[in-house]
Amino acid sequence: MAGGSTAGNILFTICGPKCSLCCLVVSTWGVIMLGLLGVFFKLEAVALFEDIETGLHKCTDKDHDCIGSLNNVEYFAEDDVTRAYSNAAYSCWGAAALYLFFLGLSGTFVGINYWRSKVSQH
Amino acid sequence: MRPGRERRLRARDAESDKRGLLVDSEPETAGGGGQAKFTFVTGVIAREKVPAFERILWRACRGNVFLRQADIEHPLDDPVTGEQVHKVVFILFFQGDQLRTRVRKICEGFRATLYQCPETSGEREQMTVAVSNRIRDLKSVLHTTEQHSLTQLQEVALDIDSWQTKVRKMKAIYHAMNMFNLDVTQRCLIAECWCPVKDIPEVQAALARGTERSGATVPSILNRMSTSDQPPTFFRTNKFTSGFQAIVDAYGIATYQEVSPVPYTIITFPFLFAVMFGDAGHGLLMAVFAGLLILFEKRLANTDVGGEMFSTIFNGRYIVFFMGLFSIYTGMIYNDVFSKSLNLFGSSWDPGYPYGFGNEGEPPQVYNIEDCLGNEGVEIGDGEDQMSEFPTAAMEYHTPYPFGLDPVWQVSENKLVFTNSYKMKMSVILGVAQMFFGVILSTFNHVHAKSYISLAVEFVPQVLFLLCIFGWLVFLMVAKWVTFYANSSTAPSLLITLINMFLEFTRLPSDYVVEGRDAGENEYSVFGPSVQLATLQAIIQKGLVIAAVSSIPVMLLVKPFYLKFQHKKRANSDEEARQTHIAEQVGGEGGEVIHTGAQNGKVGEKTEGHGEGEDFEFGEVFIHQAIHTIEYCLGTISNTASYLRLWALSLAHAELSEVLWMMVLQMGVSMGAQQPAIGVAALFFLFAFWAVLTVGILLIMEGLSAFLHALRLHWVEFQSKFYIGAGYKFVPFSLDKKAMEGET
Repeated sequence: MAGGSTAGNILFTICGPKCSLCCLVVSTWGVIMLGLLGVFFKLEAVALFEDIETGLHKCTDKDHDCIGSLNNVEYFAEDDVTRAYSNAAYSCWGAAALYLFFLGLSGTFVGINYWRSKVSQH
Repeated sequence: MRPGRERRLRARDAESDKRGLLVDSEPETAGGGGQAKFTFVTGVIAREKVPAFERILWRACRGNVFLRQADIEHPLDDPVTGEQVHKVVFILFFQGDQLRTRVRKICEGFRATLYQCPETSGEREQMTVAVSNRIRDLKSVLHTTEQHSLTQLQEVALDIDSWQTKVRKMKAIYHAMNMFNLDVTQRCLIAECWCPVKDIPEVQAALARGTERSGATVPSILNRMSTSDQPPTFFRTNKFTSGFQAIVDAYGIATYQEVSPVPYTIITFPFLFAVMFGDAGHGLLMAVFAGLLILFEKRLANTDVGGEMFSTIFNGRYIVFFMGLFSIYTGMIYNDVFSKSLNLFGSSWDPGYPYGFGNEGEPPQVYNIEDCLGNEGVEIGDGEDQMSEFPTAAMEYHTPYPFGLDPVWQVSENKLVFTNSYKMKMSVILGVAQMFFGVILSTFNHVHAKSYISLAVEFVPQVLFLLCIFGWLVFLMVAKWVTFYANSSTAPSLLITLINMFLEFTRLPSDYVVEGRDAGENEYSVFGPSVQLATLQAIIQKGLVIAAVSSIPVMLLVKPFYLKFQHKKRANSDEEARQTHIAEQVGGEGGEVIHTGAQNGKVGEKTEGHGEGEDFEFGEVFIHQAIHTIEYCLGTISNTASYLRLWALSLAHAELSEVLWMMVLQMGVSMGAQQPAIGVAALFFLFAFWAVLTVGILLIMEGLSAFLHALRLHWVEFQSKFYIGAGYKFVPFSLDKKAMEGET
């Protein structure tokens, strides 16, 4: 094509119209969902406890300020739990930021593909 | 050709161009007298034929002909076949007329083209120039013609689609007109067609417009005729209802003027889908997807992207949108968003005994069992039915979670125990409700057919049978939910209750009160742990069983005998009517015999579908009724159980969703909880993987599955209560795009 740049051609071959639309959808979903998930982790939602649970280790009464005090019950240190929730929130937000970048990228791909299809119609 | 001559001639090649063809270097000798005059022919022949050509020439002319040939390098276009052939140019020398004719005949036989070649070289040069000029001219003419035809074709190419459409339209119109009858006597075309009664004025207006535009003097007439054929079924739908109409029509087109389940399907179908799908997150995705389809529907309707699969989903976009919206609702009720629960209002769970949530700022209370019970445990209930003792402090009343499932269930281990019981009961309740609604819809059909006997003898026993057994089951379910059992082992199993309703029918009420029995061994009713209530329940159940069982013979027997009685009565009255008719005719004019009795009977017969006119097979009618009865009664039980698929699919969906989260996303999150840096990368990739699997497995596969099962529930369990579906579709002549594409 006379009008298109080689950069446009290269980008077109990386990602066609369907691929770029798919990437756009996934990254939009990722930004929204991981953002919200980060917020819920920061708010220390109980429903998400079992997701961070595997990252904690149990404590005994002597070392830390443990939650709960009966025998044979698993318990975790309070600041451990808070720290785990915060870490999880930050990783979610970090992934959401990555997806935001990916969103921009796939947006440009979609734009390039749209522009190409428009030009080739004439 | 003889080798000697060839060699001699070759030696002279260099100068041969300048020579005349027949000029001899030696002058003519007088002795020769009658010097032979050589003539020649030149021509072009296909290369493959040259050997045979030579041989025939040699044999036919007895070696008196001399052939010289040369290849033409460029293949030429054969004007006949259009292919490229290799040709050879030759020149033949001979003497005499006979040889000339012979040679010509042979050349014609081999389809060699002969050309004139002048003798002198000057003339030959002139001819070469002339010929090459001609060739150049012809080439330019050809080129111009090609260009011209190319431009013409390009112009036509812009129009050809519209031309084809026009041709198709004309074909369709003529095809429709071919179905007209030609009325020879009156020189006009007559068409017998179906037309909606409401549209008759419009059709007449269109006919008038057509008459005006075509300038015809004779107007077209619309005449309404009566017929006994069954008319086609026509529902006016818009872009929203057409999807739902399509899924009902896929089972069977409604019989003419039968009640249509479509308006109710608009709500019940997405609702049953949502009960099986039950995840607010997935519902949101589905609703957003369908919402985008609806938003861009004008643009998407014209493009042909994605093939048949996409166009099927596109045509059902309103159905999918509703399915998504309803799934959001049921997802909020099941409190399930991508398998996690939302805690919007604060959980109402209080661990109570022996742990209690203390007041703010205080350490949690721990109850000592002995402290609570002591020697004088607090007792609940009447003195006679003592329950096991619980401290009242631990049984504080909290307002239940306002909407949906309490979020604490998601982190509990016994979630499935509760949700299974809840979902199973809910499925049966929904099923009985839908089936009851279906039976009620059948009244519209009976009333329209003016078959009041069906109303009395089919509808009422059907309702009795359904409600006495399964309506009672639903009632017991709700009662069990509402009743508090301090000792849950005294809560009776509903299934056993239902079965014992029939099996222990002969149990006397006095059996329920046995003196000296322990509190735990007495019969308890669903309504509470008292013997009086149990007795009451037993009596009610006996009554219900009697009602249900007695409705079966009513369903089975009354209608056939009634129809037989009707038929006899009509046959007698026909006889009478015929006799009076004859009497009137004999008597003279002025008398009108009114055959109302016979007509009523006829109408009743016709709409019932059996015993039309004079045929009334009692055996057939009886068997038909028996089949109908058995199908209904057995169907009630099996269809109610069939609705348990609502529970099964929602369980499967919830479990799949949870497994997907735990196996995929949780790994990323737990890595992130320990080390955020790694967690970011892990979450980035794992989320994409989780998203793809969610769409593929949960949305597409589970969505299709729930769609199919909801559809089956509608087609089989709901519609079998009232829908016949024996009609045929009204397909009017249409010039729109879809109808045109169907024609070739």
